[in-house]
Amino acid sequence: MPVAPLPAGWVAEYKDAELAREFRAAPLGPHSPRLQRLLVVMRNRPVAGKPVFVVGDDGRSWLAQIPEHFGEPLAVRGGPYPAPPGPQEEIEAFAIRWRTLFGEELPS
Amino acid sequence: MSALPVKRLLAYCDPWSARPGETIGLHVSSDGPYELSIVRMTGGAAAGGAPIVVDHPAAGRYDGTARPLPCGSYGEVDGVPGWPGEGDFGIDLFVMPTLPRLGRPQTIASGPGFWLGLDGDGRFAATTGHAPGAAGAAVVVSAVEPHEGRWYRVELRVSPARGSARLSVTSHAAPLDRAAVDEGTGAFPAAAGGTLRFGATAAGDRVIDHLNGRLAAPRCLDAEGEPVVRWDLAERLDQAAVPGHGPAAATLRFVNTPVRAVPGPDWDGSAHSPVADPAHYDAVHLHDDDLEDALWPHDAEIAIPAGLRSGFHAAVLRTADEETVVPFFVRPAVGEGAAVTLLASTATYLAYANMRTNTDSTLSEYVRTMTLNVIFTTIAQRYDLGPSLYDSHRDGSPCFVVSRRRPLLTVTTAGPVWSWKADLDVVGWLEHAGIDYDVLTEEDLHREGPAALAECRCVIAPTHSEYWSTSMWDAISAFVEGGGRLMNLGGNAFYWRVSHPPDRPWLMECRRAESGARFTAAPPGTYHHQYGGELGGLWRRIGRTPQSMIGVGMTGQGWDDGTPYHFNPCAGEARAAFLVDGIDLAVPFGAHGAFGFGGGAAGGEIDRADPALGTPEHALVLASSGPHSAYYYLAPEETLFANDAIPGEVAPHLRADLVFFETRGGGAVFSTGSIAWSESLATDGYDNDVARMTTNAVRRMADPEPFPVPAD
Repeated sequence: MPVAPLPAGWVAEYKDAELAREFRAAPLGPHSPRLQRLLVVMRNRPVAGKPVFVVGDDGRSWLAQIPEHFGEPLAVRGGPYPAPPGPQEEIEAFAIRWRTLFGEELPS
Repeated sequence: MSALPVKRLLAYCDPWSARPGETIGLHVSSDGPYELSIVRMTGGAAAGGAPIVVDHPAAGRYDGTARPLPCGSYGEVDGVPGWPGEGDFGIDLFVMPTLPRLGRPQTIASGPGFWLGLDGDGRFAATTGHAPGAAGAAVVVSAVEPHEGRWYRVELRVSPARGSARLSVTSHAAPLDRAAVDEGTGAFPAAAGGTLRFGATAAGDRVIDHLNGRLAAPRCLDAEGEPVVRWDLAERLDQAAVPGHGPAAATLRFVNTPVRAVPGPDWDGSAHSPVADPAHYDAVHLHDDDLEDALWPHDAEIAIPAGLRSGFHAAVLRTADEETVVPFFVRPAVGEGAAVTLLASTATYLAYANMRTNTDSTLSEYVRTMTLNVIFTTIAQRYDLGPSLYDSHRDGSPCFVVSRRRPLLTVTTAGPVWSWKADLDVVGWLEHAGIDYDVLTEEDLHREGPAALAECRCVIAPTHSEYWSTSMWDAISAFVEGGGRLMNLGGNAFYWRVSHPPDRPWLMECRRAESGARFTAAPPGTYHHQYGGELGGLWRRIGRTPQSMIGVGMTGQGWDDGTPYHFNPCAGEARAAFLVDGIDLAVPFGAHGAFGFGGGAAGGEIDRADPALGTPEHALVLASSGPHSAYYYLAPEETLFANDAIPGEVAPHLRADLVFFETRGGGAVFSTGSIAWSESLATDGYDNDVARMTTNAVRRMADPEPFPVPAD
């Protein structure tokens, strides 16, 4: 999805495998100040392409992605999971943010 | 649509409130049979209050019919007398596309045998019959490439006898002038009469290919290019119908409430309202997601029987796998009103209804990844439900006008933590405390003015009474000045001005001019309402501060735990003794409230006292909250520029103040300054300090004994 690129200086600051490893280790926190700043940057990017969780009335959940234009179908990226989203699903959502922001897969 | 769960059982009630002897229509779309029951709400999630089923003849099984939502605004003329006629004809107007490259045709004007609009590539084009794509290629395409947000003068001249059309397009944005005249040939039929539409065309009985953009100064032309009818779109801004002028005068009627009172092609910034210079406001802004009225027939009529207790009621619809709760409000019979009136915040409910920001705004995501329930999954994938006052239309322009004649998905038990769902916590407290109360809606208050409060001694504004019309404000002001008592149990109250058109109470307008905590902002030149012409925005900026009415006004908000209040020395004064009876002033107050924001009774959106902003000098600021966390921030109107004292942990004036004051007519005002207050009421089965103070307050407020005003 077309998203305005992150300026090069910001990529240099935040495209850091150490931050990826920190998130994988503790997706629900607590997070270091630098990882918190990266998450704020990610959450304030344009809304198209952002990951969201969907929870049905029956308790099942999905990972989805917001489309480019409002009103279009949400793109399903994971699920249905048998329960509300947990730490592993937060990592999958973070991987979408990483891919959108840096154009690369989330480092392991 | 994706495989994600969505709601298929949709409904709305119209009107929203009724007295015994009156009737409420229930309008439903369902792709299968459903069961209907009528209930009276007795509390919210915090209280665990179970709805009471009302024995009502409307209850039962219904077959259900799936119904469409006919969104998209346009103008319609039911025939221009003698036009187009047998000879040449034309049409001209100004056009400002706002979403030109939508991938489908967008209609500027359509009539008997012709179509003028933007083709699927966003180019000005004209053809015979329907839009290109539906009936082949365009007859003529302009060489002028439209840019969104710029005005163009567009003229189409058609000669059925020669089978030709000439399309003239001229940019109206000097010094970027560009003009082109293009011609093409096609079999234009010669025909008189028929429906003329601006901003949409018809295919059978469906209206399609709506425009996103503004139109101005439309005219129909005869063979010589002289206008036979023209419309001044600055006329009758609060009405759907605009009279035509000229020898073939015909009325233009707008459908689905496009935005009026917007700058036209000649607006130069010298006037900022249609009242100041109508010639600058001769435009209309059309959107393909405007929706005034779903136009669904009613499945059931809910007659309000004599003796049915006033309160928050709902129609509950159930299918095998879905439940939909549709609120309505029962008022007391005339002459049977209680001393205490709960003012249902219908203006706030409507303002937030179908809020898209979860999936259409970068401002909505906090702390964790957004989680959508089935309501918001549905809203995200159906722009035909119409936007809320928090949203932008699909072309990015802010939504100014909303309607309750459509399914309001968020106004339900599964909605957001504020609005109707949160007000159920106040209902639960009233029920538990055994307070005799009745219900009035803000829409009723707007319509009836002070007369709506004639039988009432104490008005309770619940969790979030954010939106006020001038009529509502004047009515509650007269009530308080006349000795009435006002309990404001919420936060971010008396904040935005709204308007309603006189003949369509289901519509509400809000224009967020210049400041305030908001997801969208009114663009330059659009600060005045089309309904009544008033300046829109914050009441604080208009000249009436919330502090002057309820003692407190919005100071900030956050989506983190709240805090308790701490009492100030004045809480020990005799004037406040009735409020703090049974409460320990030496310990933090309201240090609970786990159902919504948690952490304390002061949270969410919070309001503070300030004599400089109108808090009466004799008001008692009984207690104050804070420090709040770094995830609370001052409201934009509370700081002149961004600085490091905006977060709650370093901004002492970012706090909720608990305020009480008496008024000259023997009345009084009690304000909590916190949205989270109501969610603390039910803690420990209503056996807590917040519930105790609230009950203390309402019992004294309902007592006819006048409050003495303290000596100066």
